[in-house]
Amino acid sequence: MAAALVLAFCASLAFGAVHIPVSDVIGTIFGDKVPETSQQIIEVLRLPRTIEAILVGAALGVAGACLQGALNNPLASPDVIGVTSGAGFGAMLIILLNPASVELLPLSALAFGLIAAGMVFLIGFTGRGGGNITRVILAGIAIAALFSAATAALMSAYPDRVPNAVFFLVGGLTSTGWENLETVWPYFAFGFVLAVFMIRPLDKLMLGDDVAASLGSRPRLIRLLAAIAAAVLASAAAAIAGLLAFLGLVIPHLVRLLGGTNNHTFVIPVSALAGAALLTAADTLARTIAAPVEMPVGPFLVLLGVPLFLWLLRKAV
Amino acid sequence: MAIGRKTIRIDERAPLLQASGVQVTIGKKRILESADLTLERGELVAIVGPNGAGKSTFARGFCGLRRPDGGSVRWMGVDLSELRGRRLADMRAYVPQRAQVPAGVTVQAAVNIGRSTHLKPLQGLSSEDRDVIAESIARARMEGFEDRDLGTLSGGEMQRVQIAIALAQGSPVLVADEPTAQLDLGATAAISKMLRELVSEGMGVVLIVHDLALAAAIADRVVVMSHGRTIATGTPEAVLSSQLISEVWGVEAELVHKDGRSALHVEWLDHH
Amino acid sequence: MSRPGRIFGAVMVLAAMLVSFGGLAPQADAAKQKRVVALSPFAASAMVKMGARPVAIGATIGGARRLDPRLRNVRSLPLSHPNGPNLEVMAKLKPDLVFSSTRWAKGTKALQSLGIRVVYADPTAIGQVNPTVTKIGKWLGKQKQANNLKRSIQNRIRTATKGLPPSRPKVLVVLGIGNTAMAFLGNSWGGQIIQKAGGRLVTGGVGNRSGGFVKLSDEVVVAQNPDIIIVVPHGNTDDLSEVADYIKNNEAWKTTNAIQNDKVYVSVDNELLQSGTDVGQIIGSARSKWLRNW
Repeated sequence: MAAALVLAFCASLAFGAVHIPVSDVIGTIFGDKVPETSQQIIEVLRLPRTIEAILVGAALGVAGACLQGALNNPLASPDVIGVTSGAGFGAMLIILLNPASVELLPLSALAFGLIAAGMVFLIGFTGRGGGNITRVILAGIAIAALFSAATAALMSAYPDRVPNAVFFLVGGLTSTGWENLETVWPYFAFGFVLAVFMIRPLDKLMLGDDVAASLGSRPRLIRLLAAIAAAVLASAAAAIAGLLAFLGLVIPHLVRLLGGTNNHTFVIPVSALAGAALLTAADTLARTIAAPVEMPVGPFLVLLGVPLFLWLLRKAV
Repeated sequence: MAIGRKTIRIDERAPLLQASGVQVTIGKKRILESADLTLERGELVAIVGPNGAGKSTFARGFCGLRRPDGGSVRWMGVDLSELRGRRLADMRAYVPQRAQVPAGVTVQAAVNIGRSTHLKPLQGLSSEDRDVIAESIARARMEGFEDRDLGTLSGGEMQRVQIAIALAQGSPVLVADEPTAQLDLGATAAISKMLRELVSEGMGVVLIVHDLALAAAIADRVVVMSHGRTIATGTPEAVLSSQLISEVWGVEAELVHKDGRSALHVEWLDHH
Repeated sequence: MSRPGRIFGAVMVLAAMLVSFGGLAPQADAAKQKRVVALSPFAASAMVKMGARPVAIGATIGGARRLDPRLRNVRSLPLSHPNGPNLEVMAKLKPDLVFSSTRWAKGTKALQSLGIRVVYADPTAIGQVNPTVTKIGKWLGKQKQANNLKRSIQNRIRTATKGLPPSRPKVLVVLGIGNTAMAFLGNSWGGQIIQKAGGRLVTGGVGNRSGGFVKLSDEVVVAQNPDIIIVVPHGNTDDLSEVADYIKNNEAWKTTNAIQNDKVYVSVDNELLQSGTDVGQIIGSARSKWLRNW
């Protein structure tokens, strides 16, 4: 999987809408003298975008793995805790209502993703019986419906601006330098670190709440923390690449099927690698296949991921 | 060490577990009225009682899985309220009645997880940990099953894995809720022998059992529960009289001991 | 279906075809004043310039600055996409004829079921301007006025495209602002205006496509290096400078000539999105405001 990621990384730097000789690509990386346009394209367009693809892919893979573990539910993905619809609403607020402040788009998506998740956690984890999985999932469905409805209302109020919103909603990366990452990286960092510390607790939880409690853990707390890690990672991912929730759902399953194990010690790190590799590869395709026109990456992800997933699914059973 | 963690003082001479007047309320209903239990080193105590008497609630209460609302629970002299996380895990291991069976996890991996309380975050297993894990698997008679997926095990095998996980935890007390409920005769006998073996090495074991004959055969003491209270404690011979069985279970029966064998002679149907 | 049933069906289809063909031919009885609603801005201004007055016009998203002064006190109907005007309002207005646009095609059936005739009169290319004026003139029974209007429009275009310098700067026209840059293609209204004004469109070699816009790779933008970038926001925005600043600060495009030489402009009043009878004026203003070649 690491090899696949390295391969995808190289391909992402080497291929683009503009043909740049491989020698120039290597030259840019090692600081040699290459034509200015080539250097500009590699340094400002391809490299940041590739790094974004890696981070977003890894974040969504890890978010999915954390949530599926925390909620003990194979269908869990960042949609389930409201992040996707929240981030979508946050983005629409900017794209549809206030397009002049478009530089606030990532922050707004991030903030509303977290707000939606916060509402789900507040309802799902507090009070008597809080932390019950069904309750968390139901709260998530209700909050997601709320934000989706608000998004739909905005879209019907500003129909002429909807084309600009579509790209965010189907998910896709953009070549806008390091700006987005500069805003969002602390959230990635927090999410990844928290996720790493949740690996072992999630393994305990996998053996059942009672076994986890026997081992001195608090199942509710594990669920909450793992879900927070997932919410932060998925919101940060949405801030950069729009809504690509499919990745969060499928990657952990793909990894489990490939590895034949459910241990989070395996599933979480490998989901990060697999998510990064798949998104980087899909984005390279989306950028080059119809060049100079750019396609949104979401559909390509599905195109690459679904056959692989179905093949593994058949093989496993 | 972590901020805010008080040092606790373990009293080596205190009983492993001393619970008195324990109360548990779930919702508005008081499930456990008042329950007492004392466990010494090298002792096996069986908690018996009819369905709904509060046996599991009591065990979960003193193990800290569901914190009691009243009474006192002390593990080696330390109040339960001072015990959390690793400290609590170091006092007792709890084997649940119905274990979750996750597919895609091997026996080895599951037992490794049982040892994880001894590790700092991100720390791997030491060779000493690996020895303890191997011994736990051997003790639970699961040698040769290490690479089997939990999803492929029988009920009895799964029960033994649960015990192996608890043993890997390395605590001096094992609390098991109906560990033999789904087992056949041979497996039940094997687990009984293993539990006695642990006790002879100085561990304390608390067992929740339905089978009075089994309790009488393997327990040093039995605690009888009825309607959320512990109503009798003592050696099986002293406590499990025909009169008590009649009062608590409403059945005419007699416990018979002979040459290390035990049986419950039950009057299944009315003969009057 | 039984035989008589089939024959009946065929007769009905024939009848329906006759009715609809008959309806397609404009009734030239100019004497009878028609109640006309002009939803497309092009039709609205063409109408007043031919001396007709619509009972209502479609509200323009980009503000009313391009609106003919004679239309200022005409009732303006809010439009939704893709349905067009509110049907209950239209039922109450009960016009004989609606000049609409394919943009609101989804609402056409409903209007027709209210007994209102719908005619599309919204050119999307400069070459369609004359035929559209002709069409409007026919429906209004004002062929002579239509011919005058066509002549005056073409004269303005001719004047506005006079004396183009041989050097043609590369112009990137982007629709909307957001995390995606939709580039105007040669077949879009704005793309044609810019080409008429003496600019070369930056499209990465993409030819004409339906819709007229395409999400262009930033790499191609950098490689083609536009001399001028024009941003077309949806509707009108109050923060023109903010929009320009956003583009100027776009790290991805910062090496382009347009940003280096501070040639980033924001288009207003839908002048590059919405066709109008003021084509000549728009080309002229594009030359003086953006291409600086007039």
